[in-house]
Amino acid sequence: MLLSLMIFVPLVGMIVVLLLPRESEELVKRVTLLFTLIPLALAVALFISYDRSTAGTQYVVNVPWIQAFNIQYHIGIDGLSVTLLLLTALLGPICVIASWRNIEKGIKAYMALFLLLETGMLGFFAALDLFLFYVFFELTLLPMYFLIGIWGGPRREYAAIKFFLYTLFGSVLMLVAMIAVYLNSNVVNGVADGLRTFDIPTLITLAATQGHALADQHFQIWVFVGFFIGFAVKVPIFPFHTWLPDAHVEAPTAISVILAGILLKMGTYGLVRVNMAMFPQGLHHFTNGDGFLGNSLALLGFINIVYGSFCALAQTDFKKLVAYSSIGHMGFVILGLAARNSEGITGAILQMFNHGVISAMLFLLVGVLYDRAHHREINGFGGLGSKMPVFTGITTLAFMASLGLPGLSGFVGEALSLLGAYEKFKMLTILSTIGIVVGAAYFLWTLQRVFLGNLNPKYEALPEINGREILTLAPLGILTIVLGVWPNFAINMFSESVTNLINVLQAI
Amino acid sequence: MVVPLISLILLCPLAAFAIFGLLGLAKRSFPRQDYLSTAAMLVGFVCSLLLLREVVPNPETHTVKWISLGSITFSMGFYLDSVTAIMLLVVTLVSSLVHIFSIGYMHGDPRYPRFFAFLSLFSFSMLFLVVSDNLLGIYIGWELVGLCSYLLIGFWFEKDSAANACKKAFLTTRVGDVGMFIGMMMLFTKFKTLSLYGEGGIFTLAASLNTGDMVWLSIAGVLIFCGAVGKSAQVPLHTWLPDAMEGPTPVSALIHAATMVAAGVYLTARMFPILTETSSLVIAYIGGITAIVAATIAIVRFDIKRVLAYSTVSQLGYMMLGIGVGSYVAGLFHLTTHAFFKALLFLGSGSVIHAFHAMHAHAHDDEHDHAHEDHDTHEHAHGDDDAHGHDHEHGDHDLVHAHGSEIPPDQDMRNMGGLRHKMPITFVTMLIATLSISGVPFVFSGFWSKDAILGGVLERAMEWNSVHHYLLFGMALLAAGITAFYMFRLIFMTFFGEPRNQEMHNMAHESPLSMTVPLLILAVLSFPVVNKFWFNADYVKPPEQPHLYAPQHAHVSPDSKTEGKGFALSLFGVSEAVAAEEAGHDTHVDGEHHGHSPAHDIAMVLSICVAGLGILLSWLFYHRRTLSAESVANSFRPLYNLFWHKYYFDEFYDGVLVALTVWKARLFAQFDGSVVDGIVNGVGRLTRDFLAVFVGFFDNRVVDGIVNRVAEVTWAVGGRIRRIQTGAIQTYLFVVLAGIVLLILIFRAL
Amino acid sequence: MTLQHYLVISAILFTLGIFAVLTRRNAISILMGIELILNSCNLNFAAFSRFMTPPEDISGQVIAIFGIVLAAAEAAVFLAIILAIYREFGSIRPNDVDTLKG
Repeated sequence: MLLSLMIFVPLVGMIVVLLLPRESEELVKRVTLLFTLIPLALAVALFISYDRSTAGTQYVVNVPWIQAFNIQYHIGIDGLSVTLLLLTALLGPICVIASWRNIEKGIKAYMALFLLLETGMLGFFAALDLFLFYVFFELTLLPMYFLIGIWGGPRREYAAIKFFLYTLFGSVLMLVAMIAVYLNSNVVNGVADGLRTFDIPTLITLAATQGHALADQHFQIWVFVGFFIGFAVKVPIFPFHTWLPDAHVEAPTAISVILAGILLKMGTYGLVRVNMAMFPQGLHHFTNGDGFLGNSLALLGFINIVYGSFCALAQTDFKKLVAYSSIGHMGFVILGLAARNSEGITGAILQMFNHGVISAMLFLLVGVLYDRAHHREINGFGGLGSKMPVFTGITTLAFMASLGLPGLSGFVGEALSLLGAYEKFKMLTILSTIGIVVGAAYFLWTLQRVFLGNLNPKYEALPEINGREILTLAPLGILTIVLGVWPNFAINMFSESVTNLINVLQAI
Repeated sequence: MVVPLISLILLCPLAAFAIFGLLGLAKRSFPRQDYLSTAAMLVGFVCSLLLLREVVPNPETHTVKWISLGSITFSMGFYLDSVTAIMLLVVTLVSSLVHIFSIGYMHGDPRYPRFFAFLSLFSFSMLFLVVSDNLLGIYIGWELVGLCSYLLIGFWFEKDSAANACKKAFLTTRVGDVGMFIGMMMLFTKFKTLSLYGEGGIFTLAASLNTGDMVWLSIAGVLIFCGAVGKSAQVPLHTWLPDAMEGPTPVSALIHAATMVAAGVYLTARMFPILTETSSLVIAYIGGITAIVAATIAIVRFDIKRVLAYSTVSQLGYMMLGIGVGSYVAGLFHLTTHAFFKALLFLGSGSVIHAFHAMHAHAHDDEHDHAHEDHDTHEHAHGDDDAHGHDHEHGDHDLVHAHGSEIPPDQDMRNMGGLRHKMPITFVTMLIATLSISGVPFVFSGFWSKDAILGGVLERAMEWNSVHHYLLFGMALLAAGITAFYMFRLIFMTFFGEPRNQEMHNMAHESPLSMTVPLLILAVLSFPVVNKFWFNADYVKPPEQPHLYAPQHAHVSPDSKTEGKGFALSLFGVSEAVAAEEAGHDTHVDGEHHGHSPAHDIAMVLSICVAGLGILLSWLFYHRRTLSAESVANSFRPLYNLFWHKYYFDEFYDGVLVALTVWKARLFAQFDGSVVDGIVNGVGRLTRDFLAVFVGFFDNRVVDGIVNRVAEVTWAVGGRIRRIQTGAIQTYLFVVLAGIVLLILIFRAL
Repeated sequence: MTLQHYLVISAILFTLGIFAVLTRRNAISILMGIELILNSCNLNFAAFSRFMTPPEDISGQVIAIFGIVLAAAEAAVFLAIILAIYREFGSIRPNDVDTLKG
């Protein structure tokens, strides 16, 4: 009940916002903030009350929804989803605050769409029915399209359409795979019998049952590929990544934050929830270290890391740089998942969460700078360190966290992913460490070009970061430090779930 | 008692930094951050002193779980043995003195509080590194000191040279760190732990590896050593350290001379038990080459800080060499003595620079460029635009940057001379340090530590009858001679002779008390006061190094009668013997000779000879001027050029590696923009322009054609049929009636 | 009088009504024809009730009365429509009102 409340409070908020008069912008913002703070409070409550000692799903709600197809409204959380729900709920109010001053037109529609988006994201992470999962997955697409397409930068329409079509292309393949799973869900030893189902926990059990159609290796491989492409577009995994820089560059700050912080995680979350748990044999086929296909998932992770990092090094647009760095960092998640061991998967999940926090910070910081200077050209700044010391300090913190400095959260996820991956893919992991050096290079180079050196006289009068902006950054910064110093704080939320997942993976 | 003490040592500086950070978020700063940080460090120093007695007799480990994943646990913890205790003492002591020195040196800097906060953060990180009992903890401290080094080198970030230097330092060391991380991954995959000590620790597990694993273990050892190569500025990753002199001089003293750069040596020493013969030899060679390369470069520098920087690199090479040949104690001993005398040298140079700078700022008072007013302190010589080149343009920074050979005038030894009368305390203390580093016998600590290394190398060479080690001994000896030469060159050029720049000379003055007191304390420490610990076998016990003696070496070794015995000897006997010879005689302080080892006697005699020769030559060149440095330089022009251009390392890195990386990045980005995105857009365009046109045609002509035909037919039929609809109500009624009649008739018929 | 008599009269009335409806060119006349048809039906109801059911069952007669009431109401509506048509078209000849002609 708590969980359902959390998911649908933003939807109620959307209706309330739509009922408010158009002129009272302050009221609209306040109401939106309220309706994003409620899920946050609920998420914190869930996070605290979540029973860490079991791997099973908790707070389960399971009621029939569309009975003709045996579709249920089945939601529940395990360690992985509760972590990401917390992240989503945390970024909600932060994004609302970040949008407080810099959305110039149609604030009411903006906020309403944002709340709809939040419902979609929260629902996605809680859904335990494949159909519901898909519905929420697609539900995020629509508000995102409008948020980029209406409130974005000069090439917003191109970026929005690219984002929409690209994601849709992926989700169509996913839909096909989903239907294939559904149609085979009642086939045992070639005989169809009983009700078909979309229920994820049931499907996981069925996929591990000897003789069941879902447990067939060939079937698993093909369905794995279908789902994988759907999620790969979202992650994004090379070569499906080119929508990301465009979408980020055009999207308003808060939407970039959501895009990098949550939407990318939907891809990797899907990989864990569906691809890994449901199709362990499919996963095995692509990660057994045997030949090209057996290394392919790790190879994609490696390409993401190195390719993303090098591309980031060459960027001169601050936001594009951060966008490419996201691609690089998501590579660590893929690499960790491909390792299929507890270090790798834990590292990957931690990296998902940490990247959500860190990239959110980075995009907020870029937004702060953009609001002042009205451009994002890295070479156009210089010497801001003496003008904006606090801003510089926070940026340095975020950069260091992102480049994997120990003591900050980025390191733990990366290090665990690499440690896990090294066990299986020695050469690829060693090559992936190039990404660490290049990552340091582009962040430090950016730091130098923007903040060090003599102050660019054009920016003599640039105001220091203000209290509202610090308010958006401080929680994330604190989380970065806390998770860097005490990662078990997050890890023990999902360590049981990971153990469970590894048991599934090793059962084949 | 141990845990609270270590916690206190760590928490004090961390708290000092945290206060700064939290207040910074509120855009404020603690008014007396300098006292806060210094007090934190002094507390640490006192605790370290107390700890010194705690460690006898047994090392202790205290751990807590940090990350637990099913069967695997990463723990964090303290490991306290004699080496840790001595390192803690060295770090807290030097750090305290540098803090005090900075109160005078940094006075008036607009970012004064920040400087102390960074120093505190550094001290915390360094101490964390020192006390960590596992590789992960060491790595964390390792990277954090790197961050602090970055922040402090770039403290005066308005200078482009500083901004470049800090970036270079971070990136160069990170290359090494990645190597170290790969080494850690290898060890972790093998042992499933990163803890070093105890039953399940790496050292215990590694000791039971068989010979088949030696290649693997050697690679892992060398990779871990890569981290040390980066951090301790060993060839080929040494180029960042001289550039790091862009930072304030106290930073150079603390981070880039005494502590952080020595962390590499400390790490290598910590990894001693898993070093194999091959990896040890690699370490020894890297150390030896570094010692020579850096010393030769130092000969031709004119920037007082660069001379010291290259000297540091060279001395670090020494320490590595010592550890590489198995002289564990000697390497760490040299680390300790070097920390004191090199910190003293840097602080002394800082004192000189400070003296010159105060004058300099004054002389150019009227030329203040107000844009730079807020950072025109100390050696950041803003006034000399010609030398410094403020010609850089914004937005024109490049990852590749030119290496300015411009020397700030207050650091240029060619502007100095005759300062001994002006700055007596600085002069005397620096002279003591110089005598110590040059290896002047018996009364200076540097002599003992350097001799321990030289003796260790020669002993290993004689024992194994190994060409490698004789070669290494030759290199070490040569480096020792050169060291004496360039250090005295520095002293002669700075303090002796006639003032070369009278204007600057007139303004020079002795530094304030807060700066001279640390100098004096460090000068006292340059006498052999710490030797007692190192030559006390009860205090420092070198760890066993089970893999150093591979079986094939046994028959080469003249000591061993049979292979079996050689191997057995290798496990315990020899390493103990080495230790006993180096450390077993606590009477060395008095200058007594090692009775058992001829190697140490030979080494000592030779080292005294080369040091004397070096000092003599230096005196002839730079004081008596009976020999001309210019003419020698001219007659060895190619060699001189090689030294002057620092063996072209920077040119190679910037011109080849960095350029290649940037080129590759641009290539990738272009590829991404044109090929990958091109394909995506191409598919989009193809769909729109080609497929869509085709489908459109099909749609228009075929699909829509059919629809239109159907519509037309319907239309035509409708046109005929509508005539029935007359609109006349009576017609309708008639039809209805007729229909009814018809129906009746039909039903009747049925 | 037997049922047949009533039925014959009813049939005559019905036929006259149909004739009027189909042939008259005046809406009022058509209305009158319709009234004839309705009345023939009412007559049939009453006759059948009287002759074919037990005397206590008077539902046929009741329906006939309903029919009369309906006829009155229908006549009122019809006349109102005719009035409206007259205002619109200036004529009450059905042939003049052929807007719905296809």
